[in-house]
Amino acid sequence: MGSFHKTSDTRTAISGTKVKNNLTIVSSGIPSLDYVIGTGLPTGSIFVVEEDVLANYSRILIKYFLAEGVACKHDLLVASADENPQDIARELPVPTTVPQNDEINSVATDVDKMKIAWRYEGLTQVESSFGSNTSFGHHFDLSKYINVDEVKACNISYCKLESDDGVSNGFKNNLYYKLLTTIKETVCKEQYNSRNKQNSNVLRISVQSLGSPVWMAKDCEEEEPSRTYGQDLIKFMFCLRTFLRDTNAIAFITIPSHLFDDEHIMNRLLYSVDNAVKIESFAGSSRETNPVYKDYHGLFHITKLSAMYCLVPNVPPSLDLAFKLKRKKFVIEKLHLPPELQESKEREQDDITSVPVNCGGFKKKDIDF
Amino acid sequence: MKFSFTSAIRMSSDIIALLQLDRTLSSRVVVVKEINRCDSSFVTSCVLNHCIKKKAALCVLSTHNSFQHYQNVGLRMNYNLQKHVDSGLVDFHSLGDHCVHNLLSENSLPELFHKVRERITSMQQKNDEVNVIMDGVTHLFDLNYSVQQINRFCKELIELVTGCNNSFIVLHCHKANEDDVTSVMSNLLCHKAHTVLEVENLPSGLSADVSGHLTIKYPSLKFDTDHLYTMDMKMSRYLFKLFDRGVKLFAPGTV
Repeated sequence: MGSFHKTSDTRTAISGTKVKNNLTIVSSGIPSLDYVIGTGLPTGSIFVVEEDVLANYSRILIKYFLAEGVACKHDLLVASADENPQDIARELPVPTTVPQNDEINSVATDVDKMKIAWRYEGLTQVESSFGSNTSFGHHFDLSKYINVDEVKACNISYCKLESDDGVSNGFKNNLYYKLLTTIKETVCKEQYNSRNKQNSNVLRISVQSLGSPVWMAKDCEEEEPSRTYGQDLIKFMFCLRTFLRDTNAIAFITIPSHLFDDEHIMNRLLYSVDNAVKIESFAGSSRETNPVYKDYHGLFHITKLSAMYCLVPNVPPSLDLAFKLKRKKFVIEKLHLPPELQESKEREQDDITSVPVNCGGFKKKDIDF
Repeated sequence: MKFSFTSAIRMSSDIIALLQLDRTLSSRVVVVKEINRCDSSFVTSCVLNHCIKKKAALCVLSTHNSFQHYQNVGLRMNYNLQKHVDSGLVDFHSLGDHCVHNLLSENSLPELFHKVRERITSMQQKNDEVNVIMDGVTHLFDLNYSVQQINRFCKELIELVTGCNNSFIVLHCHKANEDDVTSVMSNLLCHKAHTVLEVENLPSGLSADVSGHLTIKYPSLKFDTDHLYTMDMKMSRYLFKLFDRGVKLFAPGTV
């Protein structure tokens, strides 16, 4: 009868992926992260996490990313110059069937008894946690490690980078060249070509602490370090961008940007990067004891979101985001100020100097439209 | 279907009219300056749409986005880029891939203009008018080309394109910082341009209603008879919103 038949896309056959705008998307392993950056991480793109000062939380993000790959039987490439990549893969969280809720749910039954003022009854419930009811990706339990045999059963390769005097075409520090050639050789394989319809799989590349002092060492040896500082890193990121485009590979890179001497580097890097977020931990800062932030472990900033294969980039529900690390999971939530319950002579807020930047205090010239 | 077709045309015509590419004027240089991490690839897609509808030959030199990106965006805007690449109307040259490949295999950066000139001149032999779009001029700095090399490349490219009748060249330049080489280059290019389009993300964050600010300047009109006695030509500011099928412009305050 009708002549129009929709051709079914075989790429959906890869486990743990979905197709949006003709582009394969994978989960980062954290449902709330997938939600705030769009639907997930698009293949052929670079995702950058600017590390917190102690790199505690960025390490957890990498583990989630790899664990999701193991759970979906994706191929993995783990690279690091600072520590043994096998150690990272040894501590991956275990997937669970039910979302991990640490809170005691008995409170919920009491809520029904409470009568809400009629004018608020029609309001929708404020949803501060994201992606809790999504079916995309897995839920993980951070308190248990995945079985070593299960990781070994996966197609996982490690790249421990050590500096030597080998070939370093185009780069001063041959770590970059080694990593690039490793990635290039892996990505060139037929199964990672995005146009290949059969036997294709997703390659998850994780690079831990790219741009740490080991990577920058050669830059500082120069006579005029300020002129070339970070040049290798910027070059590496652009080369990686050209390699990954139109492949089924995705790079998840953490960068200790707080260690850079030159703050310009990050802005230059972000041009080559597709999506980027920044973790700002409260540990060791004055915000740790600030009552405004007592429910959270740090702030979560979205620094770049780009639109691949379409014109409209994703707009997250809010830019005021915070994260907390529970016993079993890592969640990103909308930042809420706590209710002021105590009566005190002096209002506590008056003492707080570090209120979030985006909350209130607008002058007319700051309004965009 | 009819509705989507007409709306797709309208959605890119705003930008085209703003850049004055719909008028038959002499050859022109358009510089698109990306500020505050804004992505200006929508301008490329609109210009591609315009050229394909007008059947004007076009050469795309790309370092920032892939062919697949423009192809997929194009399908939504109602043109098939692949079909026109096959027919020879559009030539897509991935300059970034070429440079990176050369760098890693031969340890040297290739001469930029040589290969580009070959491609453009071969198109110019077949067509009267050959327009050029280059996205991501700034990526050449990532590869460690010097300001001098890139400036010479842009100068030669502009001379080659504007030497041909009624052709235009669109150069996209990203300004990463206020005081570094990317800013210097974008200012240099703006100095050469007839039309400067600045696209900027909203400084206060992201909005679902507006994608960003857009500022247009016409430095070339300064010597027009109409503007001969104006000291400082006013620039026009707009807000823009991106859609799957194109972009819409608003006057400030009308959203």
